[in-house]
Amino acid sequence: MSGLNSLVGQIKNPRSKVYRRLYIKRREPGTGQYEDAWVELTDDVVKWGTIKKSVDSNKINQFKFSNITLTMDNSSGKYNDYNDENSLWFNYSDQQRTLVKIEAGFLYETKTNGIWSVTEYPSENIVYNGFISGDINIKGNNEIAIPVVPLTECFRQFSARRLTGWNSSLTASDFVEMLRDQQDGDGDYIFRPFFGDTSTGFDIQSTTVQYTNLNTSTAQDIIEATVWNVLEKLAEAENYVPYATREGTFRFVPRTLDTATVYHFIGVGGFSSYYGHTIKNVSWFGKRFNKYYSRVTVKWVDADTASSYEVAESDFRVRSDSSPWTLGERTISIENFWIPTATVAENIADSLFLEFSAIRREIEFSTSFIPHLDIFDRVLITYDPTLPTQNGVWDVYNWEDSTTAAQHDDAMIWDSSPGDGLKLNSEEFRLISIDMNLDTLECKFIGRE
Amino acid sequence: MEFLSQTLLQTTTQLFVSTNTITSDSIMNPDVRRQYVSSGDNSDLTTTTIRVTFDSTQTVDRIAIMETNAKQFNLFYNGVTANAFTLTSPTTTSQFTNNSATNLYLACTPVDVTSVTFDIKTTMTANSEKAVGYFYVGANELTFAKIPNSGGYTPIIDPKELIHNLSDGGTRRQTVQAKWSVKVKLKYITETFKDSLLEIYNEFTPKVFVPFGTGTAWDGILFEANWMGNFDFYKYADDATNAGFTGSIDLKET
Repeated sequence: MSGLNSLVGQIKNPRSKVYRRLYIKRREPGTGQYEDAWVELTDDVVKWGTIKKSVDSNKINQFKFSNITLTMDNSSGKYNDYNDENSLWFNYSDQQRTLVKIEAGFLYETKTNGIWSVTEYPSENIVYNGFISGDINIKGNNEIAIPVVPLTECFRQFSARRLTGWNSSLTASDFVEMLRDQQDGDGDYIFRPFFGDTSTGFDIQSTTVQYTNLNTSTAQDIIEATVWNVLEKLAEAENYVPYATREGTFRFVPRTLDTATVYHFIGVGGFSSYYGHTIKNVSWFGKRFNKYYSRVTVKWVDADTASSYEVAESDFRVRSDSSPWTLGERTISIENFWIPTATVAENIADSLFLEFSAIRREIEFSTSFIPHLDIFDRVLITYDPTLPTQNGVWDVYNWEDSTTAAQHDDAMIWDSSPGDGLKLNSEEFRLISIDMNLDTLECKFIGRE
Repeated sequence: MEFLSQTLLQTTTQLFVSTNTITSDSIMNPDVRRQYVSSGDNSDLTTTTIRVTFDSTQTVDRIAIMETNAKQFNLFYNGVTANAFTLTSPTTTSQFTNNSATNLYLACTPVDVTSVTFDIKTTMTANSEKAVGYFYVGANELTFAKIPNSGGYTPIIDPKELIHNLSDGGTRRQTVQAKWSVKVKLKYITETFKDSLLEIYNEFTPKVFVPFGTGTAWDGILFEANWMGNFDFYKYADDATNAGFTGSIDLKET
């Protein structure tokens, strides 16, 4: 059984204390550098909004982090433009690109010898890192909506051609190191300020393939691209994932999936003294036909010849075990001319084929506040809302599994009830979408089989 | 039942603590569980000093110490130990030797001061770090000329909370913060008292409300409050105008 002095214990606790905190870092006038300390604005938040992160269903290495809109009380003019002397930004630079950090979690309070001790769960309590970017509109009711974008947006807001350091032997990891160490003409770092203002804010794992097409800032693949475009292409070619962690570290690392389950969601019909009951409802559950593809093509060379493609596809047979026959043929096409070899292109095709060639079940469900889970976490779900028939024994026990007619005849075979609409008994899913509503502290997950 | 001024301790720049400066602003946090706790002062031979200094001379006649473990302590003003406050209750001087109350509400003879010092010498459990949840220094602005009967006083702890209705019909309750909400109904009050209430109502600063600020066995209710809604004490309490006025006060913690 999980005690209250643990994260799982707090998640299942019927009555707990929770917190949400909002911090900003403004930019100094003149230098444009971020101030040293975070400024807390929690008390001014009227509406927190919803954080959403998900994985792109048609691309293997793309995480999507949502924007978030914070609604603040502006009755004292604190959130007016920086020219207004009531503004928090007065004597600082423009509100745009102000760093934003949101923390949320549980508070566990105990008292010993007259001294209160407060422990926060989880210990890594940052749920969103980003910066202000977009239209800031003051409403007539003295509220103001502050648009916040995720940290990786700084790469979308920078043209690749402005970078220095291009050369014909650049690897993907060299490129990310180039971003990490990129400076302006005065020697000030350009991207580090968004990621902790230190080189350790970048977690980069080495790659070896050299991209000769990245030899100069005026190269065809660079001249019109943003830094993020380049990152995405490289990540796809290397089977890497570019993303910012909740704590604000930028990672460029191979995509690896954990094999261990990290959490067990329990809903109606289930019981766990360790995890408690967390599922509020299941919105939908079923096989996702729109994520089924029987064929994957990866075009990795520009020339229009058969050897420019790597294809992974199911055999077509008029048989019940041939998915192109039973489900129809659907194709997903990838085009990336930065892929260095046919082998890499084949691996990409095979990875996508493995993921999407079988029709898999997905489930969307909402829970009470669970702040620590991440995309691709492997979880178990137990949910069985069917009420057993009064005095019945369905679901109680699989009495026997026999195929002999004699035993069928005497009606002693009581297998699991086929009438259950939805019955999940510790079934395994990977999380592919997580919504965290910070106003209601309700979480919504989508799991894929 | 009293309305007090806002606490005179408004910024951390006014505050000196002898150890653990980083948590000193907890003394200003009305959430009393966020205590200031000394660091390395876990000996009854070591004194922890908390001092509030004002930019200009201020009149002080109320001090509240909440969620403390202080047993022996001195309160004095202008940095001179001998400048003890003259208390009306529970003792006559603000030098305590054997305190056992976690919450203390001290009323004293008004005195003009530039600083207030709180020296904690020993703790209720011997040799513990010194802890204080909230420290109020201020002045009385209005003592109610009449207090309501039991039906006219409704104190409520009003939590901001999020309720999760779970799939098995159970509930999970998650509290963000709990604040005081108090309704006071008064009947047959004099015109003078009504005018005093109106003066409080018309001020554009919140007031600190203390319903029963007793020197001993204090209930620990003290909070900065907004007077919500309208002012309805112009209503006569009875058919005769000399019966006085009736109305209600709706207070919510800031």
